[in-house]
Amino acid sequence: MAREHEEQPMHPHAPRRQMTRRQFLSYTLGAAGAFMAGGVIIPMIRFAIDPLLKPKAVVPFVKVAELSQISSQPVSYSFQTLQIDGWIEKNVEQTAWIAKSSAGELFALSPVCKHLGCTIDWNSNPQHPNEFFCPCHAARYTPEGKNLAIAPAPLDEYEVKIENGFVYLGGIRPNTIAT
Amino acid sequence: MKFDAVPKEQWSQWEAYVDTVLIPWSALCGSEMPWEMHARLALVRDVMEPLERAFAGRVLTIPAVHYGVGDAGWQEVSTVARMCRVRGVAFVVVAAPHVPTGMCTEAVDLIVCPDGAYIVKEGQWVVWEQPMHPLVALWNTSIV
Ligand code: FES
Repeated sequence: MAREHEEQPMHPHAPRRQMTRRQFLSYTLGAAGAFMAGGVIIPMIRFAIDPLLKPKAVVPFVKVAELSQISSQPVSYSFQTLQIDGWIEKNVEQTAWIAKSSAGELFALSPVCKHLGCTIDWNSNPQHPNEFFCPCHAARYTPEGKNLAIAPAPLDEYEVKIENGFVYLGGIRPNTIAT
Repeated sequence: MKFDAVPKEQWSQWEAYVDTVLIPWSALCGSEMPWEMHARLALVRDVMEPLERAFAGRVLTIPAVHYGVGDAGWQEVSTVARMCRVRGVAFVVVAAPHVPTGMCTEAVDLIVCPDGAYIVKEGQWVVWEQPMHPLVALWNTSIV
């Protein structure tokens, strides 16, 4: 019995792990303060980054031209699209070169040169007739947008939809017609 | 392209192609009313934007020159143009609300204003009347 006592000594004066009133008050007030601040800050952060949380919008199709007017000769058409950049919404003027390929397929090319982004023009250089030409560093493209000089890639194209005799253009994607 | 859209790492690849600088000049002196300042800046923006869009790959827009009393503003533009030449820029274009009253400077090739484009001829600003864009005409003297 005496041995048992030795193994489990009693320490009647050991300090008790107890929270003081001051500690209790500061923990409680800290937690309440953090809860209230979170209630204000979290909705603000959500509001600020809301555009980033939204899934990327699909570019709507815009009516641009009458189907009957499209030939094998590229013609420039201008149209407006609504551009949403974060919180800023604005109408942006766009241009497309629309034509029919030798196989009769309708296509619409972006006028942005794939070299460094200048605006290309059709048939504007007498030395290179029936080609798209870039005035900046002389990049050249076939009517279907295939890159012939300077530019590293073919001209991009718009998604095309034909409905009730009209041509509608959507988002921009890499060229699928140039071979 | 605008100066703030040029990443430092990319510049060595682009530099040879971007041989033209566009200096916006609002020709303000500080005595204008706020709406007059706004209108002046809008004029400059409206002549600048088509240039920037059409020639984004060869023209670098740098920060604007805004204030100067009398000819001081134009002198400032001329100095900036000369300093651009020192760093190797081949062509300098100024987008302005009007043709400067001060002397022509060799350092500026072209001024584009709301009422048209002007080139220097025999020490005078002369309106550009040919169908070809004056900037393309300038470049045609030396395609990069
Ligand atoms: S941007 Fe078109 S050739 Fe350089």
